[in-house]
Amino acid sequence: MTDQPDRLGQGGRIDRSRALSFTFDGRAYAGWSGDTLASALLANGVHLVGRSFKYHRPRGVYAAGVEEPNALVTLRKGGRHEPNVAATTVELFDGLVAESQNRWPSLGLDMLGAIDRLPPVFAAGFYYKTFLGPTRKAWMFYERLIRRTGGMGKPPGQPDPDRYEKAHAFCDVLVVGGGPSGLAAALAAGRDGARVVVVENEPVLGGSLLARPRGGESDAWLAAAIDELAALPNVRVMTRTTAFGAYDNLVFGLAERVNDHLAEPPPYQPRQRYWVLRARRAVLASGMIERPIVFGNNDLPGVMLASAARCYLNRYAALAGRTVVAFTNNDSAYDAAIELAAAGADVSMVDVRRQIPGQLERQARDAGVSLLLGHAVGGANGRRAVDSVDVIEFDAASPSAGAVKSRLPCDLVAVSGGWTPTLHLLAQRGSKPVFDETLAMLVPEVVPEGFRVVGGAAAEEAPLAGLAPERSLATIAPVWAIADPLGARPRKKFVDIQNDVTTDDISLAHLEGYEAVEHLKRYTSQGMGTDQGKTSNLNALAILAGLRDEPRGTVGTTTYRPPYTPVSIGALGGAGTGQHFMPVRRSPIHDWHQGNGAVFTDAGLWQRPWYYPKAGESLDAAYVREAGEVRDGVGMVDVSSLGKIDVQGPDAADFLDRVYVNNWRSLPVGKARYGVMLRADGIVLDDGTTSRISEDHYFMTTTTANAGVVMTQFEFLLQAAWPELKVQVTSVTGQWAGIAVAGPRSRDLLARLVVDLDFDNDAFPFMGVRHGHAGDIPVRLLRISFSGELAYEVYTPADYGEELWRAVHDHGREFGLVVYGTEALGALRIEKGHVAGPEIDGRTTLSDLGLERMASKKKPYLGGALMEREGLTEADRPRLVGLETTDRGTKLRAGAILCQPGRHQGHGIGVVTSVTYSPALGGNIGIGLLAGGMSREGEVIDAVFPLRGEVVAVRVRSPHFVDPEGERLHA
Amino acid sequence: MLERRSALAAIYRVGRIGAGDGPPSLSVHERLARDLVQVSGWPQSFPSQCRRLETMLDFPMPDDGLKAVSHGESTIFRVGPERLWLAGPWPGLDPASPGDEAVVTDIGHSRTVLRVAGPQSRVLLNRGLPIDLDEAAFPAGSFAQSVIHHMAVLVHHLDGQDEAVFDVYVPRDFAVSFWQWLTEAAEAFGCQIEEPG
Repeated sequence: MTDQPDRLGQGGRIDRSRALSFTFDGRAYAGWSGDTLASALLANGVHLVGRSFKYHRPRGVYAAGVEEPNALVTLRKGGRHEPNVAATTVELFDGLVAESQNRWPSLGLDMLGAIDRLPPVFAAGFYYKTFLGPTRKAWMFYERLIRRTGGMGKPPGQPDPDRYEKAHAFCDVLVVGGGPSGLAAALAAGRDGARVVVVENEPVLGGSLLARPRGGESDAWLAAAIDELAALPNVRVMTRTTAFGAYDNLVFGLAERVNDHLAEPPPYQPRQRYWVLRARRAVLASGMIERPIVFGNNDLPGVMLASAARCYLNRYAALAGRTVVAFTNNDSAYDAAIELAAAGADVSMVDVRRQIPGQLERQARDAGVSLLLGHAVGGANGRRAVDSVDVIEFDAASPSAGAVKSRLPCDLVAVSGGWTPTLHLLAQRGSKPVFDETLAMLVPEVVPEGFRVVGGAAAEEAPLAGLAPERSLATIAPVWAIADPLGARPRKKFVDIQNDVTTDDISLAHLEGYEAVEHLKRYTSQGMGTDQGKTSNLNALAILAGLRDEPRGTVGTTTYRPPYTPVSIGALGGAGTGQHFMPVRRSPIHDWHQGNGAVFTDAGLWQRPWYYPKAGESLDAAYVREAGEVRDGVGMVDVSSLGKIDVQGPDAADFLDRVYVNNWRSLPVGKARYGVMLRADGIVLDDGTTSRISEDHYFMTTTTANAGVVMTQFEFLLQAAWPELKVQVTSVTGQWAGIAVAGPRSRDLLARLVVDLDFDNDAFPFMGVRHGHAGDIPVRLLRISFSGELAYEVYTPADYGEELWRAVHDHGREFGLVVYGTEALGALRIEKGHVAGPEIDGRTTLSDLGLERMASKKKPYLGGALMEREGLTEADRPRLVGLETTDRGTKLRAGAILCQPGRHQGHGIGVVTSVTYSPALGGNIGIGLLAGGMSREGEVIDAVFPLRGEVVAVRVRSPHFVDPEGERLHA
Repeated sequence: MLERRSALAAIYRVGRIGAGDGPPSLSVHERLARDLVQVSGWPQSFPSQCRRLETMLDFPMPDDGLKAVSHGESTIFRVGPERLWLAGPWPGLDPASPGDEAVVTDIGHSRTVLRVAGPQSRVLLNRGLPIDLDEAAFPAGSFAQSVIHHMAVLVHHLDGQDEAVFDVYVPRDFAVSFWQWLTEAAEAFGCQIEEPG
């Protein structure tokens, strides 16, 4: 643990009663509560904190807030490891572990620093030009090496152990920014009784006031404002929260760093929270960000924004340098210079202006600041930190720089090129700021409805009541970059320090035709990265305007998009991880399946029992056993996930006639019918069975996958297309549990269970619908079959589902009942040649699926007209066929391409859609869609699966492998 | 006697969960075995249907889709332009009685109903619910059909006198996922899971 050599003995807004310890690159340091990692490092005399993105140049702390381009570090260990965090935004906590990035073997000795001294092949776009050959695959080789040398931190390798939350908030007035203007706005709105939310990025309110010397009149104003806000119950202050995105209708995205300032969140509390806030009005009081003037070696550690040096001095009592050169073109840097001098630093002010306001000059001289007016910093010198600057005479009228006039030793260059209002949220709404020639800054032009911009963000100079005025913004002399001094060795002059983009890169981009701001950004990467060019964008635009020889206002700005500052994926994901990634739909019988060894499979959001393995049994063995036992005896399967829709009303039959291709008026009460419905474009949408419960009441089932789609289509048709129909449709999927009981002994079993119904074939024929009781349990029975066996679907209200299942299961014992899952269900339906999701794939027609005879010729129906269109009626469309492998033991693969033997080219002549081992046939079979369909019956063709290099010979046959005459169904 | 089995039967545990050891600022319980009947109709006949129901049930009908009408344990929601949900005990409702121009559908097994009460109940629900639950915007009696963590919900603000009380109707097949989401979110506040009732 070291002392804090650059910490002042008094002052600052840190809490000296709470000492904290932390490590940086393994070395222990001390700090105080209230510090940021950056302020603590500076107080400890640590100026070298990272290596740059491309050139691996030494870098230090450059700013004091979210605009920081340089001081990116990796925080914490294990699952909490977090790369690329700006040290200026990290609240210090006891035990914080921070590491520098992008260096090897160490920060002090980075071998890749040699890149900086290579010839200038590493200019913008260098890798696209340099690493093109010799072969087309060469880039794949180079890319890996380039990515290893460049880049930032490493992603974490372990799961994040912390919680994240999402939340919704609402208010009348959102105030973005807790500085003086924001607090004044919040007070005004709060006093009026409005529901106010104040969002402040920092842990404390105050904004720019916090960078002023402690104990001034602004502190008294701030304390009073905070107290009054706290007393207003209608005002909510959210610190450690960033309004990162502005969306339609005054919806905002906020990121709250709830417990980032602790080593670990308290039990059950989140690390971060993502808020969606809906406001009626928004006040943008987001202040301004200082920008630098560009000069040679302006990236050396020790070069920082003047406002940052002031902030470290007054807020954190950290002296960023003792021999200071301040370099400016405007008045604001004088505050930093004067206050640094008062703190004991030796300060020289280099100002490009030949004349400055008299009062300013007097204040500076009184403070002991030496003034060099009409001069500029032509370059900085130093190896791992700045040790001097070269000063030149400066004439704004002359484009070329003069020779070096003097060299000033220094350990801090505090630079200010003016201010840029923070208008990101406004610009995200499409209101791009425009360039104001007088103020040399981007200012708001069109303010969208519901927004108001105040304070620094509005480039307002007017002081708040009782506060001393800020320095004038209008006395600026716009200067963007200083050329290399005459006769001096060329130095890199960084515009975008984070992305290592220099003035030469911008010139090169312009020379190569990337003259538009958006092209410049993409070609050079200026304005990208974690800081999004907050300190570099305007300088880049101004330099580009100069190269284009156009006024700065005409080049425009790049597009502003959320987020304003980086937002962790954890926060955006919120609670949606692990079991909450997506909600799961569970059948009413789910608990039984779970307790009886079912292996589940996902079917959309549903979890369905896939198979029920006996000890040591594989999927294949289990489903073959299950399917075989159904055909030989009786089995039961949970079909509760099938979509169920109640269709009721006097026009229900008419409605069904319109949505199904087949006829429904003739269906008597107490009977069910299989139906197929089309989309409006003539493609098959879904199939299922609908039962007539009473004269005006039908009970429809749909496939599990399409239940929602069908319901949506019905609602649309009834509201928009056929409002005259008196029909009500209600989803009752969740109301009913469904169990299919299938197999030759299903009747015997159910007759034993449901004693108040006559199960005789005549009394309860195929497609019959009956209501009865299984003991006390009310049941609705449909004699329908998906398996091709004698089968029934038994429905009961969901809360009785498990009870019914147990009853069937118990009664089934004496009949050798097997419980089967979706894999066996699939095997049985493939054996029977029933189409399902893989065949009804949004591309197939009725005739493709062999269902053309279902289409009624006596009535119109949805999709009927377009079903006949060209292309859907071509003779060579792939049609449903059955397939069996010529070698019975060889498996088929769903998705295999069907080809003429030996002609494995192009898209082939069809595709295998569903496959299974058929216990009934004792071999591997499938169904598929094949050009020519059943006209190829008996042919042997190839099923090709190129991904695995497989070719399987298959024989084309009827898809009705089992009981083609339906004798079992009707038994 | 046939008993209804809750969708939450396998995971429901009565007791205190989450942070803190003082009195919890939240309580949650499942409301069991409630009737839920949908009555729907068509624009021309719906007003007369409502009048008939009003007389038959001796219960006022809701005017709009924003506020429900409650009396005792029973509530009527207008969930669509011509669609009512009758929630709670409705022993006297005969499916045929609203008349030929109305459609009655029993959906009583299709929803799981959870009651969330306590000072933090608004904050808890707003962890997922994008509806302003402030007393001024969503006074007692208000209900909203919305989504919490991808799951469709109907949220009803009951008149809890001094306490914030909400009933959340969630589709039965999502009930376990919803319960897991709700109880995990409630842990941050500390929550008492009470006996179902």
